[in-house]
Amino acid sequence: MPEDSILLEKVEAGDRGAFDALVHKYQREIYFLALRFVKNPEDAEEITQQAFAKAFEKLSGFRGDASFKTWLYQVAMNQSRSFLRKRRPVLELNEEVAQKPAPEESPLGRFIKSEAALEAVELIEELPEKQRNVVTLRILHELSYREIGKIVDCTEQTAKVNFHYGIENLRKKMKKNGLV
Amino acid sequence: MGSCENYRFMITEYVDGSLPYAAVGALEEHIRECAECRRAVEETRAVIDIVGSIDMPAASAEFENSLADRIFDSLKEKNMEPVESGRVYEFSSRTTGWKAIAALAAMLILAVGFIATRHTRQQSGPALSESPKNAQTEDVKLEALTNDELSLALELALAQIEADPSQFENIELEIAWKDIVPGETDMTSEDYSWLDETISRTAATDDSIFILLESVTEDEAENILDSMDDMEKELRTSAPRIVS
Repeated sequence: MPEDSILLEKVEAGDRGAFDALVHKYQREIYFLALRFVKNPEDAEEITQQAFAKAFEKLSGFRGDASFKTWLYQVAMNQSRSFLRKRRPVLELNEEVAQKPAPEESPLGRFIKSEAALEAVELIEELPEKQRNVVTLRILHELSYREIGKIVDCTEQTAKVNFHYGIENLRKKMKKNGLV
Repeated sequence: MGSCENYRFMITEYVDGSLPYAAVGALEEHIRECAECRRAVEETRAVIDIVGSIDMPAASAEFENSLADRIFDSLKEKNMEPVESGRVYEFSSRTTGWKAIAALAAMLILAVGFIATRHTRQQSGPALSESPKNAQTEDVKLEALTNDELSLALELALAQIEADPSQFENIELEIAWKDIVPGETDMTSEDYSWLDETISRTAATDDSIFILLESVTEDEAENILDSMDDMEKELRTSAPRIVS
């Protein structure tokens, strides 16, 4: 797969194949990012589509100081947060909907093979947002601290510190639960 | 043996693979001597392995196979899909003040130039057999000016438009409206007043707005275009569309 910058140049020259290639390259991880936020596959699909569309619409917004990948992640994260902000009041008003779903209904849980990983998903959810984001972006999305910093809008060092505290928190929780 | 707390952060970096090489030796030496930190290394490794064992779930095959088409179609609806001539979708939201003015000035001048062309073609006949409403949006590369040249061009454009706003067809311009939000650019209150007085908003999307702008005579347009001889930077924008 060519570098993103080459694909982008082709996209800007009207190359539909390059456009498709960029979407295919990142659609799964962006969907996963959205799913992690909104916990619902249909909503995650909608956010994924919106995030790509917005990222392409605002291509000029990232030029010069970021990669397409981090730009796309940033947009997807903002879209997810925005979605949650809009949805939250409705959920709070609707007790039935607000009830915590049973573990077996978790959209993430359906894809998780081991019990430990399933439990880890729940423990990650208990982390403060900054730690949760950095831990998942680092381990599951395999991003560099530099990329993470750009996506969550902090320095590389802050991303590292949040990762450390996130892992330490998980270590304590997992130790308590007998996972480690 | 130093305080183990001082090694905690290094242990996370060590297991994560981000500990600077120069620090690895000291940490490994400490780990050899300290059972507690050895255990911390093993536990940290186990935590990262467990988290790493979470699979990244895929969306439905139908969604994955159709996503690119759906995104492309949604861009097309907004007339923002990639096209062969390489249109840039929108001005940067990080555009600084003078660039916003530059963009606006460039579009104004482009509008003037474009309308002059249309006017000429109208007089000569055949090119206007096509309905203006169906006129294709063209992609135009336009080079921007130095700050001083831009100021001059903008002033000229404004003056010319004010001088005779009604002779020509309306032109539809699309600009990134948020790029010229008061307080976020160097635009003066006069600039905003002018915008308010001169344009009429005809349709808005989430991030942009379509503007109707009335233009100038052919001669005046020529004068403005002449002022753009010395161009320095490249600024790309989509050409205006005639809407009436």
